[in-house]
Amino acid sequence: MSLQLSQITHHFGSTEAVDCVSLDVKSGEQVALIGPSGCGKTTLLRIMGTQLLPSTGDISLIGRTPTTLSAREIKQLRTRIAMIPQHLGLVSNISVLRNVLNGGLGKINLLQTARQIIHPTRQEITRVYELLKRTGISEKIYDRTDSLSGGQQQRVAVARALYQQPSILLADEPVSSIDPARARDTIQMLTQLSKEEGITLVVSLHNLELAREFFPRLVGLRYGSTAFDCSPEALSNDDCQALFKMDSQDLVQHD
Amino acid sequence: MTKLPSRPLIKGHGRKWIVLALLVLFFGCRYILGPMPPSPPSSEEGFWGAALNPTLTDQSQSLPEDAMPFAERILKEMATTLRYAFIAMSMAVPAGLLLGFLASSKWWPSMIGDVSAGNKAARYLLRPIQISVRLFTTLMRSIHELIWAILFLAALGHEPITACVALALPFAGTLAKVFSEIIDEQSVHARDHLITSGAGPLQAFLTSLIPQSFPDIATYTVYRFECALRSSAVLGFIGIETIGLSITRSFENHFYNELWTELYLLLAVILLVDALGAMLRKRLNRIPKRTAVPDLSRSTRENIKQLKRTAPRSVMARVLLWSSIVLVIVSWFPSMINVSTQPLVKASSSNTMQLSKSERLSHFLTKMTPAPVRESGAWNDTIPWANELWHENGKTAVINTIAMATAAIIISAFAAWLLLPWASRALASAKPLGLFGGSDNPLRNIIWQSVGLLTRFLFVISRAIPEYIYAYLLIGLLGVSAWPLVLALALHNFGILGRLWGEVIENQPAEAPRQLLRSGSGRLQCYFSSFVPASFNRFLMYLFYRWETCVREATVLGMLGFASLGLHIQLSRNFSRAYDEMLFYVLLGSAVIFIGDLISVYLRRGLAKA
Ligand SMILES: Nc1ncnc2c1ncn2[C@@H]1O[C@H](COP(=O)(O)OP(=O)(O)OP(=O)(O)O)[C@@H](O)[C@H]1O
Ligand SMILES: [Mg+2]
Repeated sequence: MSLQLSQITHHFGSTEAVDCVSLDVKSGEQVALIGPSGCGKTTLLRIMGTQLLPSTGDISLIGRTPTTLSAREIKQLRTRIAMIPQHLGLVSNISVLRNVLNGGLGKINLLQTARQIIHPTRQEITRVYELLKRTGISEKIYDRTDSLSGGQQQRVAVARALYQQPSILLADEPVSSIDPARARDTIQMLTQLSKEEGITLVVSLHNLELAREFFPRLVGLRYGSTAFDCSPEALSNDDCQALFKMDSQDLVQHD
Repeated sequence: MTKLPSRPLIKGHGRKWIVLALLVLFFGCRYILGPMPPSPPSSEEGFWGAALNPTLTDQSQSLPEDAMPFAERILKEMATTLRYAFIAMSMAVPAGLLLGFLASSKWWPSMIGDVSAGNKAARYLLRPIQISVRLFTTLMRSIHELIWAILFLAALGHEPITACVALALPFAGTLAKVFSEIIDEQSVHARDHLITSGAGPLQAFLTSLIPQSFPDIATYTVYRFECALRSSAVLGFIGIETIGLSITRSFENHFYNELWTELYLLLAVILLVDALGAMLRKRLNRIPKRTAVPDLSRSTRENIKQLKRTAPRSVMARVLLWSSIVLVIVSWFPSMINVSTQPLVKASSSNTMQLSKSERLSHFLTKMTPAPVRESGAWNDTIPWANELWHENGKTAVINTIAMATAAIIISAFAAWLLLPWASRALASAKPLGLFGGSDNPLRNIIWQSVGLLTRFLFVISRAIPEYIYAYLLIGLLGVSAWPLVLALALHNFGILGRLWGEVIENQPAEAPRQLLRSGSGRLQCYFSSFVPASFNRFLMYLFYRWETCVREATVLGMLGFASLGLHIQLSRNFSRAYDEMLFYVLLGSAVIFIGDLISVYLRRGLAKA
């Protein structure tokens, strides 16, 4: 089992961002987290990425329990979990090459980092090039990252995640800022990569159509708890409508 | 760099009161500093006329045959000015980087979300280091480079390298402060992401925050180099062979045509550096785009090679970097290009009349101990001694120094405030803010464009000449009083405020002022009722920041002869060699600067909160 959450709760002050969620994800499985804004997708992904500790509940990632680990062990665990945050977290004024290389920092020490900054080896560059080729932007390897379009930058973030050679890949709304055709491409690429490499993939999405088309397993979140957890075939239209239905409470919140 | 406040903190009446308070403060300073005496007759005779008539040959008739011709001499002195600025910066920049790094907390192990990155206990160890580094850099900055130079030359002997080290000290302090501020301003998204993918805090810092802050660090370094050039020129006034030395000699001998040549030369070099800095900033802010995609049908290795070769890169930044490295090396070792120059360190002569360095230093240190302590050996005696100095001269000197700085910054603020609309790229145009402003008239376009250019040029020129040189010339022309010094400070800061405030206005969202223009108001109305209110906080922030630097400069301008801290430093050094008294005034000055610094930081922080 790659990811095990049992009865996870997380609250920010009085807001229950995640409320008693249990989720088991087998290694190599592909899961889409869907739900309206504010339902706790980002929070749940950050818990899976060891950026937040759950307020209550048990969590196990690749057989390890982050709450009991030392700083050094957390660091080791983190190198095996790759995250693509919504804001991508790229350094905008350096080359694509260097951004991708940054994915491997967890596996080298400070001295090697300094060496890599000054002079990346040919093997390192070739590996980056191959990864960029798989994400479809190899000709951009030496371009400055902020000269790329939003969709291309997303691909840089994917390549950086893959450079990490992760067991788990988490992506937070990877297609929220690109047009439908490219969104489809990106999701296809992510699921394809996950299949080929056997990486566990958890992606949060707003777009139900895409989720149904590419993911064998859909998890619906509403107000921090699971509304459904099933395959696209088993998902009824009522479930979907209930998930995105606006409550009077929502209208007040988003005044 | 920080975001503009979304809503002005200070409301309409508050702004009027602040402007009024500044005026009242100005008259208060005017009362403290006394009136401006009538200028001595005939002092300016020929001075202004010579401005149009600079010379390239010696004005002196009584030079020895083998003297170096004028043109060659000032070129050599200008080169020396540049050389010492390079040497000083080559020490100040690495020191500033190191200290700035230590003064920042962005590389410490920290919490991401609520999971710690690295050893948290390290923070308790790092905090005291950070605080002491910050204190140390503030101390370095709170003694003016000229005073460091005077101290060092007195202690270690008259060698150029000593003067360069003296320049480098406060510059390293300032660079450290600004570098750490630049680093602290960067977004931490990328750094946090790297830490959550397993990188150590230092690794993440090196690979994200450092490249992110590079453009600001580079452009600030070029600006500081420009400042170093000014300070290096001023070193001439205490006998180091830079262009300042010729300026004093020409002025003292009333060789005004020579003087103007020297001023123009200095101005030209500084304007060139200023222009280079502006170009670099523009270049670094422009995102280089790939123009050519090479043929990618070959082997991976070949493809990578081709892509690297055709990658878009900024040639200018590279050229600047490499040429400054070369120039730094040449500055340290001029013999490499077969140029004979003043040796940085004098060869120890066998002359027994001259004291050795260590003897000199110990002699200096003895003389620096307060006189009563030297006699009695009891450090308790320092207190009555200091007390006496404070009541005799110190108190008036401190008050005068602060009054000079305050009067000066208020003058420059009002001047810049009134001239700003004519310098603004947005307003000083036939089409203000890009709006249609009546039928196209080429003449109007030209007139507005030249008004804008001229006003901006006025700002550039007035900040290019160092305060000290202005003060020196003005004292000669207007006679000895506080006002030439105040005017000198005001002139220089007028140019700086004009530029800083101009940037504030340019960064301000243009919608509100545009709306005003559309509804029929004129440019000035638009400036005073939209631009000024929205930028008032930032204007005040820069005002306080410049006031702090004015206090710093005011402590040394007094050396030219007005009863303020600088004068007493100069007097106790020159006439009585009373280094103990000199040290007292130096420390007093640094205390004033230190407190001014704190006040300024406090006020600016309050304004930034809006
Ligand atoms: N750092 C925080 N501090 C306080 N409250 C937070 C914080 N982060 C999230 N929340 C709250 O937790 C709830 C869930 O937020 P989360 O970001 O996980 O939602 P989301 O599903 O990712 O939404 P979106 O689709 O808009 O990104 C929201 O009500 C949000 O306001
Ligand atoms: Mg989210």
